[in-house]
Parts: sequence; C-alpha cells; structure tokens
Amino acid sequence: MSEYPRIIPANDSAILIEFGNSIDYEINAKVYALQAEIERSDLDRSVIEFIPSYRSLLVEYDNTEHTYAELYDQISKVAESIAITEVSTTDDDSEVHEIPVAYGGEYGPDLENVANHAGLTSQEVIDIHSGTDYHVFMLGFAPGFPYLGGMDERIACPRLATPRTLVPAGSVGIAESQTGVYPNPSPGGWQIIGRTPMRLFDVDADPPSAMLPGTKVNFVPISHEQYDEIANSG
Amino acid sequence: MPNAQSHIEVLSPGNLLTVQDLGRRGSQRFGVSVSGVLDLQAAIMANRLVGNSTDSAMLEATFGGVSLTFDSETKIAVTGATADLYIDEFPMPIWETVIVPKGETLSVSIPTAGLYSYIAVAGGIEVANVLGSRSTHLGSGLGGYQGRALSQSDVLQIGEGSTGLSKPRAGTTAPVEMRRACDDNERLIRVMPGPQFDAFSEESKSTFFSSTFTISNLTNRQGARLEGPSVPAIDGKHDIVSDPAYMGAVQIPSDGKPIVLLADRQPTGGYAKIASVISADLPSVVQRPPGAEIGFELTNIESAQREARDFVQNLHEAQLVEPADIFVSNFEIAGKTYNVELVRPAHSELVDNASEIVYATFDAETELVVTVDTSDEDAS
Repeated sequence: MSEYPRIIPANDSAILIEFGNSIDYEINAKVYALQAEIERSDLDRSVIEFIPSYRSLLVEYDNTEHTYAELYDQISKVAESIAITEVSTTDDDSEVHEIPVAYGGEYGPDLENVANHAGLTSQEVIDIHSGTDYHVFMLGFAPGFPYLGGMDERIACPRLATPRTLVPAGSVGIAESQTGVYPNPSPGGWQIIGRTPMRLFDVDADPPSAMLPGTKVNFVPISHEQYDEIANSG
Repeated sequence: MPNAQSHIEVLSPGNLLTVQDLGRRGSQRFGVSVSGVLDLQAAIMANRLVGNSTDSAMLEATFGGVSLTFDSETKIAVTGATADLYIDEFPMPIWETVIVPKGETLSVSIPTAGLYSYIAVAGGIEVANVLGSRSTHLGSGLGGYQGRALSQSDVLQIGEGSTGLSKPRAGTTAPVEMRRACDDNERLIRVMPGPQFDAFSEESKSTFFSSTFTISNLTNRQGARLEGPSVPAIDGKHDIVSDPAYMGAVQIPSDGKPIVLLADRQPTGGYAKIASVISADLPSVVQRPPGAEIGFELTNIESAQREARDFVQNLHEAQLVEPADIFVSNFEIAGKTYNVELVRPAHSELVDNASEIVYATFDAETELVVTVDTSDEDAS
C-alpha cells in the first residue's frame, strides 16, 4: 500500500490528510479535489474550516460532534479514491485571473538587479515573468499572500541582502525561484520587479482574496500611466 | 445600565491591551490568522458572568497594569491571571460579576500568577465585525480597534446587549474548578504526537518528554517560546514543505527550541511539529508567564478528545455561583417603599474599616452599586 494518503490527527479538533511531501501540481490538485469532495458531502456540516497547503489538507472540525475515528472512516474512503485517481492539473476550462502589473521604475526598483543577475535585459525579464500562467498552490504567511508555482528558472534571483522595512501593497517580487505579490504593505526581502494597482485583499469582498487557492493567475504588463489611472479610479 | 451611549476610556493599556472574541474562523485558507482570546476558559467565564453570549468581544490584557474609566454604570467581570482589581480605591474580586459606577476607574494590577486577564462588559465591546470576528490580529492589522493594540485615551463603545436588570446579578462568581489555569504550573502539559513526530529520534523525543523548559521573554500571542535543551530533528530536517499550522502545535525550528503555536499564528508554517497540546491544557500553557517552567507528557487522540468534550461542556454548563450573602429588607425612600436586596461582593478585605461596596436591587428591577458606611450601616 502506498504511503499516501497519510491521515493523522493534527490536534484534538483537526485532521490532516497528506497526499505527498513535495511541491507538485498533481499532489496539490488532490488537496483541492479532497476539499471539494468534503464540501459536497454531509461531512461539510461538521467542518469549522479548511486549510489547504502545497501537499496536505487540514480539516478543523467540531470535536463535540465527531470523534477522530468517525472522521477518519469517512474521509479515508474519499482520500484513498482521490489518491489513486489521476487528477487534472491543467484544468483548461478554469479561468486564469489576470493581474495587471507596472514593471520597473519606482514600482519595480529591483527589476534591473534581476535582469543583471539573469544576464537578460529588463524587457526580457518582463516578457518571461508575464508570459506564464502561475498556479496558486496556497495562500498563507499573511492575508491574501499567494504561494505561486511555475516561474521560469531563468529569472530566479536571491533575496535582497538587507530586507526592506516597508514594501508597498501590490508589489510583485522574486525570491529564489518563487514569485509572489504582497497584498498588504509589509517588511520584505524579495526583489521587487513591479506593482499591481489591483486590490488583492479586501475584507469587505467575498471572497476577500482576489487570488484563490487552487486557481491560476497571470501577470499582464501595463504602463506606469495605466497603473496611475487604475489606482486613481479605484 | 449600559446602552448604546456607554463608553470605556483607556487610561492605561498596560503592557498590551487588545479587543478579542473567539477568533476569526473560515478565512485561514485566504491567509487570515484566527487570533481571538488565548485563554478560552477565562474568557468564556468572563462573558457568562456578565450575561453575554460567549462570542461577545472583550478586552484581553497581557500582564495587567490596565486602568479604564466608564461613563455609565456598567456590569463587568475580570477573569484569568491572578491580579488585584480595584474600582477607584476599593478592592474588588476577580472571577465575579461586578458593577462599576458611572465615572469611576477600574484597575487591574500586574498579576501575581498567570499572564492574561480578561475584562468582559455586559453588552460586549462594540467594534466592527471583520470577516466574522471582532478579534484584533496585530500581525496583519485586522479587526479589533483600528486593527491595533489599545493606547491611552482610546474610547471604546459598549454594545447594546444589555439593558435594565441583566442576569447574572452582581456578586455572582465563577465556580472554583474553572479558575485553576493559573495555579497548576507544576502540572505536565498533555500532548499528542504531532504530524512530524517521526522526524525526531528516540533520543530527541526522550529529551522533549523528560526535560523542563522555561517560557521565554519572547513569548507572545503568536506562540509560547521555550528555552531549554535542544530538540534536534533527524539530520537537521526542521524545515518542511509549508504545511497547515494550528492551535497548540509544538514546532521545532532549526535552533531546536520548541514554540507552541497560539492564537495569532500564521495559518501555514514550515517547521517540523513534534507534538500538539490537547485543547483542555491550553489555558495552563498560555497562562504561564515568562520564566515559568513547562514540561510535557504524551497522551493519545482518544484521551485528548474525551478531555476536550469535558472541557467544552464545563465552559458552557458549569454552574455560576449565586451570591451567598443576600440581605433583604424594605426601605422607605422619599415616601415610597422599596423591596431591596443587598449583596456583598465575595471579598472581605476593606480599603479601611469605614466603608465598603454593596450591590442593591430595588423591587427586583434596578440594580445599583452603593457605598455603605459600615460604621452605622446606612446606605449612602
């Protein structure tokens, strides 16, 4: 029998289901497939909330209503069948969420750093960065912060030697072979190559995050004038 | 009694004073932390003592030192850390329903045991509901009062939950068995194996379960940080693929020092988790102040869930204790006769031998706090 799915109690009100131990599209797709199955089933009534991650799903539940043993029996059947099924990772009919980004200049002060490190021109870095769809593996770290997969290794770049004390909201950055967006102002050490005028996290919106776990996004280059127009209109 | 126009002004926030409720649920998948009260037991008792629903927002004070003034007569209860409570100069009991007279100052001292005090007011603290909760998350600036800790001169509005004669009456106390979190520092904390239990050698596990750790000064609402012997993972593999985090997870970063994740934790994290504190023992973990000792013993999920069910049941069903010392009499005031019940708070220490605070209920309708001059037994 395969090591996965591995189903264990996390604490006395949460059950953890692992589909693997690496950052992998297929493993991540199984996490969201399981969440969707549970949401469709009667089990959903006992769920307090889900935390999906790269390779596992945490289900927090009401332990005055259900024991771990009951949850295990119900979830393991679903998880076993998902684990051995080939889950689509391309999901062609799923919408790709477009994020407009003004690259370089005051909005992307580290674009040249990244270009120099990669031995490319700034325009080539922009073309590569905006030429791919990115998979939102999970949100975490901070409200609305996406862990994106799929960045081209050619534009990978180490973090800044000294992190900035304040990175503006909407900043698009690169750290090693990851790219991401800061939804809120925060300290940070990522190489900032651009900024989006879109509001990525809004507590009054439903859902509050513009980027959703398990979906895809891409970055669409806009001019600095367009950035200002969008920012001022909204 | 309180209405929409009742307010609290912060004279001193102490070390850290925040608005909290039972936490922000359902948004961790969007990267939003749960936050909320750390000591669930003390917090729920505080709300019950003022007749609030258990999810009403209250104030959480870290290491006391808080002073507040009230612009209306307000029913309150202070629970949690063992601390001295005063209304102006009058010592008042904690774990008891108390009435603060209009314009007077409530003070909570630095605790002699425990770390977190809960100050509940009848009607709750009225701040905006953000993603289903009024809790403050300091790390992301969400919720509570302007997303931040309270500071001097901040004014909070009290909710409309309570008008007229509210239950329970002043002088009601929390049952003794619900007040023990700050007094059992000797007790071992029960944990279940964590998701990465097997990332630790038998030797490391033995170190974890046989050692006494000390709560570090760096402990905060995000996590209780422990000092003590290092608990290394096999081959130094402390970093894992970022995984869901949860309340009570004992994670061990590469320095080998355990951190017990608490209410303000991030929803995901990348350190190996050796163990998980059972929910019934969390109040005892969070109430241990920096410098206090902590040790762990292993239990299993079945036992943890039995304890959890008892714990939750007690939170909601443990009987509050009605005031014992009730003196009933008829008083004639301005030509009208009132049936008056006088209740003495459960403390016995008086500021001086001349006066004390008692609660008076007139015709079972209006509850007032009065100062009694004990030298001649007349209500003022």
